Amino acid sequence: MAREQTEGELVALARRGDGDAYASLVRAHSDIAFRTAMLITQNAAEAEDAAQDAFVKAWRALGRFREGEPWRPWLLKIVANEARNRRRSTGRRQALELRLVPDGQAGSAETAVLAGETRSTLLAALARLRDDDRLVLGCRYLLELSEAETAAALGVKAGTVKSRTARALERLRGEVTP
Amino acid sequence: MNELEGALRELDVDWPATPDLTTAVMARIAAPPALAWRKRAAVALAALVLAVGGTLAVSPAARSTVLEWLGLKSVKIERTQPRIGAGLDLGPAIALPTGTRVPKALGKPEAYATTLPDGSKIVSLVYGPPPILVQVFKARVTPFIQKTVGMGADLERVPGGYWITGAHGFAYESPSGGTFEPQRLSDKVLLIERDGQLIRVEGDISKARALEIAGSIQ
Repeated sequence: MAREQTEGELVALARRGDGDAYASLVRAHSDIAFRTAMLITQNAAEAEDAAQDAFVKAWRALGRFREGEPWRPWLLKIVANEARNRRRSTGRRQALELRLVPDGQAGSAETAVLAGETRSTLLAALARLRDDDRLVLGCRYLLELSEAETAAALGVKAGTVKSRTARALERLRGEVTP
Repeated sequence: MNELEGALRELDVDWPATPDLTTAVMARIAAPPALAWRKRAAVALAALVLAVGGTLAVSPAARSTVLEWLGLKSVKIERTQPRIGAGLDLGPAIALPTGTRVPKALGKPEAYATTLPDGSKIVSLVYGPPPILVQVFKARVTPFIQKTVGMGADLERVPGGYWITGAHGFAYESPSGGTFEPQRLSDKVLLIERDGQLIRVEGDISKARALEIAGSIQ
């Protein structure tokens, strides 16, 4: 059986016009692209459109991608741009549509300790934060992006991610502390 | 990591189900980017059908490519052989025929006997890496290139022709009528018209390099 191709190999093939390789890349990154767009647009339909447009644009821009570098930050930057454009054009301010997995389905011991009410309170507090605070915390803790990936998605430097995260955590603490 | 960060990490968000992006994205990539281009291509195909008496007298591979670009056939992308020529519907590999016009700026090519959508036969030259496709055939693109290249591509005039970047296809006029060529290898293609012949240099290379290659064809 043939070994699975690495991401670098798939990107190299896709750059040469291999649609099959690109389909594999889209499949592998659909979740993170959609959820990143979801975090920004706060709407599933807008997020789907943004992610789809981003993958099409990424395909057309593959010639400008520097082979050997990680593909995910490069892709997420395009996804985030598309999502921001959509959010700007729709002009709607919506509440974050995210929900929590109901109690009992979450796996870890720590999660079990957090009462459902507390978790809902935390998510609601997160949704109330101003955009840049909510986005940096969403990228870092909900999507579990690295600092470099978060920087690419938000269009800022890695150092800015660090300082913005600290500031956003302080504001979140203020929201949840009685 | 403090308690708040721990609590954030433990939030188990019930994300909406991720839609099937792959199918939608691949369909859009394979489809021509502009309706106007699609209509033009449909006209070209209709002319081709009439010219050959109601049937598509082209190779199955070429016909498949034509239909895919017109959005008339569900898109199926297969990678059957690693050899670039076979995967690009360039036809069977052949020994380089004596007298073939080749660019002096490049080394020894792989040659393929290609049947174009209008039924004419040409020799396609493939170099690499990076892979570069060179074709010379009797055609001209000027009458309609501006309108048919597609919205997803940028068209730049260069001496004697056009430099196209972005997803593209291009219609051209051949001795047997109007027809068109889909993108084969890369988002970058140089089209040069010289002495009634169309020179195509396609590959992930700079415009300057493409011009140098086209200029070196003897």
